Amino acid sequence: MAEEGKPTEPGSQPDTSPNQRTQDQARAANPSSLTADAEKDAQVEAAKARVTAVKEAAQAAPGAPKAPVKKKEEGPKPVDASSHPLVEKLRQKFDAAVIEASEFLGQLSIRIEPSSVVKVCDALKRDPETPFNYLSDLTCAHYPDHREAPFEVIYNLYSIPANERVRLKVWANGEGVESVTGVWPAADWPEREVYDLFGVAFHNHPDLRRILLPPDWEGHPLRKDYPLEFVENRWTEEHLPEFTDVQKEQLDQRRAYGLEILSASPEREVRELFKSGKEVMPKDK
Amino acid sequence: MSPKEIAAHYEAKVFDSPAAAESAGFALTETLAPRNVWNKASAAQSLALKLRDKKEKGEAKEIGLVIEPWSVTGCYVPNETAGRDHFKV
Repeated sequence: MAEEGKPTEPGSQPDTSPNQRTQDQARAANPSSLTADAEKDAQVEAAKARVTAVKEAAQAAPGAPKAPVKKKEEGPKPVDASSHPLVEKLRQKFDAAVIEASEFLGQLSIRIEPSSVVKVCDALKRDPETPFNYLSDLTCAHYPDHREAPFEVIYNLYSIPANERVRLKVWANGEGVESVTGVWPAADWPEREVYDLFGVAFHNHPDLRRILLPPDWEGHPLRKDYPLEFVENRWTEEHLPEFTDVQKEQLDQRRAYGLEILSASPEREVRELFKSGKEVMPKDK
Repeated sequence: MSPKEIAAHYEAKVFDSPAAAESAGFALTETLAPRNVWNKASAAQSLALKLRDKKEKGEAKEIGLVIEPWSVTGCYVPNETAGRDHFKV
């Protein structure tokens, strides 16, 4: 009575249930079933080994907690490219204009004097071997620690016939640099963008004015000293109209249907939130 | 860079609270309370650059940043305090 219902432990007395007895009898009668069991056991052992191997591999996988990582080795660094044919060619034509040339991961960068940027660009465009006829991009970077000329204007040039690229870099201070719209008319809008977002002036530009921000916007947002803070400034106060009662009702209706993201003007909505003194985005406490 | 790294770059002291900065003799400037960590770094950079200019002009003897969880405040030791300290014995 006391032993009934207890599970049979391995190594204990064999199971003498009718089923087990019939199985034993069948094995005795048919020796091939014994080999089949041995095969099954071998398969189970192999499966267990595979599971163990997979677990070990998972521990070594990226998702698993890792051992302390050693400090990374330093990556590739720019190397001097003074011996590059294009640099040598430019040095022959404009010796003092080319300040330095470097190559990083196969990308050639040439730093040139700001005063001769138009001459160098014109020569590159008219070069018979590699005519850089396409101004791929014109952008800027702000280095506040580079005090004498904190802005670096960058010209990414591409030669469609020769399938070559070169990057020209020019330091610019508050006075600005010469416009290259005379060389590549496509420089018009990128130069306006740089002027808008960095405040770098381009002399002799045909239409130098802000392109993204409103004309009476104060400051240049991509400068390092411009805080990226979501605030209502003087411009939004002056220019964004207040909601009428009808518009407020419409907004409430749209909110009820969950359509405010699609239909409400975000600037107006933000202005409303600021005016009502609500917290725009609840901080994660 | 994080706000603390920015402060280290511009040799600015870091404080946990405005009270700690004031007790150390720093005068507080503007406070920026951005909504995310990237804008917090931008705010810290903006404040640090303004304070650096102040230091170079000779208006500030020492500069610092009060870095709180949801805000960054600039602070500096006015240069006139150096004279006051001279008379304290």
